[in-house]
Amino acid sequence: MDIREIFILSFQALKERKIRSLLTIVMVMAGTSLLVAVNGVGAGFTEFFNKQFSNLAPNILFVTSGQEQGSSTVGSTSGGGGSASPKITLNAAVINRIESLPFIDNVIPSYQSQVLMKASGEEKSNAALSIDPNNLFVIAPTLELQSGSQIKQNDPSAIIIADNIANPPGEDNPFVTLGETIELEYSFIDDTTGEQDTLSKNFLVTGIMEPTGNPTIDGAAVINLEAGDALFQKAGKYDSLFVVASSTELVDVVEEEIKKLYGNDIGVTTVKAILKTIEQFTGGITSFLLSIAIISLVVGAVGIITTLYTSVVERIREIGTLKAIGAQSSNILTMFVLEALIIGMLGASMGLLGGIGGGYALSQATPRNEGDPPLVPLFFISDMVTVWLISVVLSVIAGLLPAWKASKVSPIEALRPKT
Amino acid sequence: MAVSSAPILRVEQIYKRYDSSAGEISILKNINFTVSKGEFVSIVGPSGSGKSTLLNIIGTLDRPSEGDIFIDGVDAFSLDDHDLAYLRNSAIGFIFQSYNLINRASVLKNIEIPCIIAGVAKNERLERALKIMGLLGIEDKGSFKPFNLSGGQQQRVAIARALMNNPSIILADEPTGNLDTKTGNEVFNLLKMLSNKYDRTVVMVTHNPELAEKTDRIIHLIDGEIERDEYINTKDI
Repeated sequence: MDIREIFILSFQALKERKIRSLLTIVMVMAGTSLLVAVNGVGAGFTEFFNKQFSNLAPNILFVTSGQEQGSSTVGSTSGGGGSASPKITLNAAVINRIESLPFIDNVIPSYQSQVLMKASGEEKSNAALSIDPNNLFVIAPTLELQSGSQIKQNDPSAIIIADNIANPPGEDNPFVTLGETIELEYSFIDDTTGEQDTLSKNFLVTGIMEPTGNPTIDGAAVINLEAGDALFQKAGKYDSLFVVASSTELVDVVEEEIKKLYGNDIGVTTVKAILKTIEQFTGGITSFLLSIAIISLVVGAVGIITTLYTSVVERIREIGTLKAIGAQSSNILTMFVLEALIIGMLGASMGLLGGIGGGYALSQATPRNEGDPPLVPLFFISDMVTVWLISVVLSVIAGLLPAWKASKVSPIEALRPKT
Repeated sequence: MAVSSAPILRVEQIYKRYDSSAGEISILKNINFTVSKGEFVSIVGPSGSGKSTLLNIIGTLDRPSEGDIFIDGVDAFSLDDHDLAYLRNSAIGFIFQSYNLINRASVLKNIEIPCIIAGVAKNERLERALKIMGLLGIEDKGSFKPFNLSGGQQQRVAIARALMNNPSIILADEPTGNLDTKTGNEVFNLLKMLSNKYDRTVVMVTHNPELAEKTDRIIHLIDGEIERDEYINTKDI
């Protein structure tokens, strides 16, 4: 029997039951769309983070005082009791000891704190990074300064700020420009009185940093160590150290060496570890969403089974007649499998389009910080072809059961007059 | 009697039994007869006499408990399902009481289906279909959908479909059962014409004694047995 003629009969059968066929196609489409969208957003996520962290120097290790505290920017914690207190004080002695370890080029100390910035009559809460400004280029090798910028390494009144702060996204007027003065206000709890107190200092903006993609740099106001020590009252107790390994390959060795010295009393994070954590996180979310998508694909397949089963029952006389006039069981099987194939192909194709749209909608709905680049879903042709094939193959498999049932219909039963 | 050529259909010692909760039920008992080319045979009998079961067995839709059917000399029930389907397609033309047309397909497509199953080329089957449609007076109905036709026209479409592969035998199960007397007579006359003019072999099951009287031969079934096999109108073959 001519396969084209069977195809026409199948297609006409679907057309004859328009609403039901359409709903089944939509079921397949929903599963496919979800699969494509989730895949696209997952790939977009991975790409987004890879871009973000590709700007981090891979040979840098972040060292903080103990894992409990992590890399928080809490200001004055020294002397305080409680479980969150650090077990190690990152002072000059510790720096010297770490520097004496092999394969270490440099140890860059820093203070980090949240401050209130005041300029042009506005106030903004922001992170301040206190570090030797020349070392910014070690932490963020891709860093570029806007023209007119100057690095005044030893000037405790100089401040370099990120472009995001100087020109806040979405605002018409700059917050502060080169050469202007900005006030940093640091608030803390006085240990002796228990009262909240503030310290303020004026800085001259000597540099503006172009966006690097490194979140530590892109949101920061950078002052030198002397200024930070004074403003945040650190007394030489650093918040974190950037340890520069001689090469990227040696990062693991250096991490091990530092751990040998201080064990769990010190927190060591590498770019590799961060990337791994993020990959695990996004991978986990993506596979969770993928499993939902696959379930919805299976639901679509069950829809096909239901639709075609109903169709077999409704068309039992047609099946009986076709058999009576000589159609082979394989012809009947083919007719119903083709119906499943048509549903699958239409649903999967519409699903691809729906999935691309859905992917963009999903990524728009993903929460992100103001000023961050938007998350763009990524759709690879190979992924799309795979999803399309999965949907179509699953549809055909779903169609096999009712089709087999139809092919086994006994013509004598099918043609028996209805009573 | 003029019918003398080699039999198109041989029915030999057919028994059909069913197992039911009330025990074994015998539907057909020792049915024997032959039908020659060009014969128009009617099978009559009261409801439950086994007429339709017999026709289904002749049409190889149902298998007998015992016995053989030979169509064109072929022992039908020695064939497997695949070859049996092929036999039905090539040697048997079915006409049903309720037409059994495929409503979503055009009249022309319905008529072509046996040829499509047989793999006949498009031009060839179109040519055949048009010729048969002309013969049956439905040449202008090709593009219609069956549900847009009257009952009589639909049955003509079904007859046309049954003729497409030039079958050895046409089996009609109450072909006029759903039609009014006038239309029923018209359809019957078409079958009669096919038998007389084109030498078609027809076996028809009917309730209608008047129609049966107009066929060549009446096989009376009662309680699954042939009670009488009478030749009433002989014709020259």
